[in-house]
Amino acid sequence: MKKNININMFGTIYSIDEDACKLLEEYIADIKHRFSQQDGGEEIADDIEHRIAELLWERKEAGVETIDIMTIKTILKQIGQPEQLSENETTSNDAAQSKSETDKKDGKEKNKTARKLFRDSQDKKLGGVLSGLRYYFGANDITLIRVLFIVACLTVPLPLGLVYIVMWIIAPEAQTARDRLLMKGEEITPDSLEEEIRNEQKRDGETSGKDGEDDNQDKKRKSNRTKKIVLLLIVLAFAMWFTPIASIPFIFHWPMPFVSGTITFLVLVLLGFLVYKIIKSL
Amino acid sequence: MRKGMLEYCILLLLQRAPAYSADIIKQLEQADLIVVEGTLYPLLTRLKNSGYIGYEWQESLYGPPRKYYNLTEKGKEFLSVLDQSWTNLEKTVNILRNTNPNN
Repeated sequence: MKKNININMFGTIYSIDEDACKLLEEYIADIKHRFSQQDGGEEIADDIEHRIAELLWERKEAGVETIDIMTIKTILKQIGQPEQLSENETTSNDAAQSKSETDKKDGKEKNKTARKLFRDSQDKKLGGVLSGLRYYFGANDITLIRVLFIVACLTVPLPLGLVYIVMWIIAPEAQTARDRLLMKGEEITPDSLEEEIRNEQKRDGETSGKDGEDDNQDKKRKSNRTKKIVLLLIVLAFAMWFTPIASIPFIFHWPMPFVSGTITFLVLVLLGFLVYKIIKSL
Repeated sequence: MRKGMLEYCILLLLQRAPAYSADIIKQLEQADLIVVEGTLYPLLTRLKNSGYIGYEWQESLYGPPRKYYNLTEKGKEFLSVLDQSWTNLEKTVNILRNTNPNN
């Protein structure tokens, strides 16, 4: 059984599978992002969206009731990958040749794509900061990192808990498949997006109880950034008031950082939870 | 070279009649000039921003409204320049191809 979504593209309603819808959304977002720096980029993206709508319309006319992911893939292949669209313009080579060249290049650079720091919302204990950091630094074992971090919180005389909270607020949550690919430093193509969406759904299937939460997160995405920044300032003020008290023992009782480290950690975790609740209620 | 050719072909197509993107794509595909559809959109937008072509929205019976592109006066002038250089190019190529090196 598959969930179905109705989407509205330029006034026509299309019934589309959930995974197909996600792939389409990601593609359009990617196109918009890629052309956003270019002159008239918005218009180009809009034209492409119109074309997609038209191709969907053709399918609908032909009697296709629900658009599935294969249909979307075919359409996107016809229109082309975002990289192809901007690169082909500047290459004067024979198209087939330049295509195979870029394919090769992409293959080589697949692991070199710049990673971006996101919070991993799909594998998290608290805010997903560590989980996101692990991708950023290319580490794999999340449990090890978590243990190391807690140990570090308890022993290292630095307000690591505070650092965690700040990162929690600053780092955006990886909400879409596109974000997740960026987080992992993988290349964004229709294929990789599709794979990521499939993986996501597998995970969703395993933890189907969390469906409601995911919907909430989608809505939360629009919660504006200024509110977060205000919150950040409040927390920083809090922390500035709190940290000297916590760190003075470090200086004067250096041989026993354990106790005050624990207190720092616990209080900051508490602060973190408060912030979490506030952000969630936004 | 390819890019220039594409632009020339688009202008030639639009000279005959206003067309919307899918029409253009269909005709260019026949000529094996285009690999993926998406390549066309940046090109059309650039031609439009240079003032060579214009467009108007038209309601479509087959889906969303379409942009019908047409050639502007400036585009017509540009096209005649291109025509001229194409004729010259053709002449040169023909001479080179038909000249028997043994003669």
